[in-house]
Amino acid sequence: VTAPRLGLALLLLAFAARAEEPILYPAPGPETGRLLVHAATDRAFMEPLLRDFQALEPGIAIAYLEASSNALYLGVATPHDGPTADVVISSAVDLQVKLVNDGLTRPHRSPATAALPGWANWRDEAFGFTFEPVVIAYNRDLLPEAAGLRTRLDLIRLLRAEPERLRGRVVTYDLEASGTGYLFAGHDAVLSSQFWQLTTTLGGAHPRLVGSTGEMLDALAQGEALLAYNVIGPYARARQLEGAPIGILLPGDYTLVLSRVAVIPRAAAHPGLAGRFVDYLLSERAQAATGGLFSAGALVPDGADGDAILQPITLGPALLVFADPMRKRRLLADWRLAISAP
Amino acid sequence: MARARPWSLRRRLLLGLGGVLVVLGTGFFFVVADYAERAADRAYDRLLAAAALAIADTAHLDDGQVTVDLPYAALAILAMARRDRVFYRITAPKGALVTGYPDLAADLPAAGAAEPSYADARYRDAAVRLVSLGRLLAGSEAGGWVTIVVAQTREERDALAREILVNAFAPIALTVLAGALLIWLGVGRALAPLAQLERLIRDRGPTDLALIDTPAPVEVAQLVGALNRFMTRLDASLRATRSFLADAAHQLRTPLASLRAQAELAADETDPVALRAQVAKIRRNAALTSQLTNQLLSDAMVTHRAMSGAREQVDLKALVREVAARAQAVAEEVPIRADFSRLDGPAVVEGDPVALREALTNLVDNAVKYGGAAGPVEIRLEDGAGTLRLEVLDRGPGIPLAERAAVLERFGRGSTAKGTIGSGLGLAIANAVAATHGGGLSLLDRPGGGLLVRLDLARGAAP
Repeated sequence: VTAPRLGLALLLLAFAARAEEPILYPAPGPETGRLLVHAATDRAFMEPLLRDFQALEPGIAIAYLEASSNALYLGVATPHDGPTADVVISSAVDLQVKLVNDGLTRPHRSPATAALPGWANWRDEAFGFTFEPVVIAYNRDLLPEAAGLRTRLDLIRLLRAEPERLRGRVVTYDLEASGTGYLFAGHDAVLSSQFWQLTTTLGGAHPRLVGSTGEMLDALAQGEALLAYNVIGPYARARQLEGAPIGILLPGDYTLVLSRVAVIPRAAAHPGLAGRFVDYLLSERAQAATGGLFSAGALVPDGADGDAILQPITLGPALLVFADPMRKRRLLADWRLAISAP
Repeated sequence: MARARPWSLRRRLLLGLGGVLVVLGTGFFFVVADYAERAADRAYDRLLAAAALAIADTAHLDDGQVTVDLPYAALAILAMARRDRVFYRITAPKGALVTGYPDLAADLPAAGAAEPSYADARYRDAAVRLVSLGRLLAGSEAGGWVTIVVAQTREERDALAREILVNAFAPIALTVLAGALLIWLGVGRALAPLAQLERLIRDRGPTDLALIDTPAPVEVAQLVGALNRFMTRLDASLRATRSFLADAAHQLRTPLASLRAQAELAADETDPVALRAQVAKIRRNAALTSQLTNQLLSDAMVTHRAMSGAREQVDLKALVREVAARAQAVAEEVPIRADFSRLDGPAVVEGDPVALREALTNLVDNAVKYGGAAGPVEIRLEDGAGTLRLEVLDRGPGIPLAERAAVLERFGRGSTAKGTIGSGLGLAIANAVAATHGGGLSLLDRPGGGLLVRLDLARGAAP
């Protein structure tokens, strides 16, 4: 996969090209089986994986349906007439974990799943197959001094030191619009005692609130924003490789790592085939198919800070906390209050 | 059906002791299994309670609404059980769901205390352990006890219980196995003296009846003692048989030799008168020999029957009547009287009717033979002290005091018997029969002259 092609694909980010009907990838050879993949991710990310899997198994046709993570969750969690997905892929790890917790998925065991680190495998039912550090990105041309930032405290200091220059030119997730953003903020609130201080300080800069990493990177690349907080690293790296003047910082106090999660629903019609697809997602070959950007170590050597403390989001019942609607409501209310400072 | 062969001692011991071990081992297994489950429950129940308390801690009233800020730490505590799934339900005082799984343990009563209570249940097709506790929210009319229910699947705690069980039971299982081995060896060692004894006896010659003289444990020593007593008896019996055979041969050889000599003489005799006298002599000798043979056989029969020990209830009255009638038929002119006048009630002894009949017949024959000429023969049956007393009386010459012991021996004959055909076995047989019937025979002078032979016989069980 070439960088330009990935770049083109990234334009379609943020579920902008969400399809109502499944897209069919016909089997390259005579069809022997059909895999139904439901994903809450950009098709540009998934398509190389699907085609590469078909290169391995030419008899398999793939029906690919893209939907919001909530729709995917409900598609498995509520009874319905239509076919159930064989594999569900989503970066809304809290909802994926809730599917497992509620007994709606089936286990799959293989050498590939056994080799996964503990945080990326829960009960052999939820499998994290990417490694995506959550980073601070900045415009290298317009805010070169950001290269010196090491921690979130440094970020707070910079925001306070340059209030006029950064006013309105900071961009971050709108937690109300993005489940991913909410998940990151939720972890920040747990991991960092400075989370609310940072949120209030960000609020003081009157930030632009957007629904996706792609929008944040667009704003940075075009110079509309100087600084973006909680950007999904591989996408930023892809922009960098395309030549956009984007710098990437892995915060030294801790760097959250997101891993997209694949599950096989209990009602899957082709669990064996689904297991093979999961094994493929976990393989080196799949990492190569996505340009190597989503594998562990892809960003760390190139990062501004090599000493980053990586905090992978551990798959497990603790994530249910983020799926709890009452807690979400309260966090969003508090966040809204802090981010909309006068 | 053949009688089942009793189990070997080794098998009895092994089964008995092994059975105890198996029962003990099984008992231990269930005790340890129960303990392991309770220990695992206790350990994980604390996590469960900690999580529930952490949740309860965040419950508050917000604008009159019960609100819970589900703490990350609460579920992170439960996530320490890596594989287990987690469910929770928080219910407002009036029963409305605050957050969580509405159908989780829906039949559980609302909490009324902060004390955690535990229960086992099934939820979403999985066995779960759940804790329920309350949090009192005071302040407004929405206040009251908030119920917090937290449930966790049992996978990790079952795994812990299994681990405890395996670790705790392994030494017990090892001990039981070691015990089984020790029992195996110990039983073998304990039974070794028996095997040694068996070897000792097997290796003996067929005529070796010497006492077994080998050191043995107390339990086996009793068996050795019994064996030795038995061999002593067997030896005595063999000796008796041997001496009887020698006596019998000796006693029969003499009259047979004289018979043969007289017969040869008679064959050459031409004088009819002398021949007649010789034939009469031969006849007398033949009668003597015949009686002797009968007595010898009778003695052998009585001895054999005494050793073979066949016993039954014998009515002495009937026996006396039968013997008297039979003797009367032979004796013709000598009156034989049976006298039961001093007998009170039945006269039953436990014994051998054939031997008793033989003894009594011998006594009556003797009485007829030696005293029949002088007067009638009397048979008296009377009660003795715990015995039945049978007396045979005649008016014959009697037996001098000095010879009485000798005539009770085999082939012993008194001086008063001279001139009468006799074998010297009759009294010996009667004496032997009396001895095997728990009594004795005594020879007494009959008041007014004659002999009184008294048989004391132990009474049989009451019919």
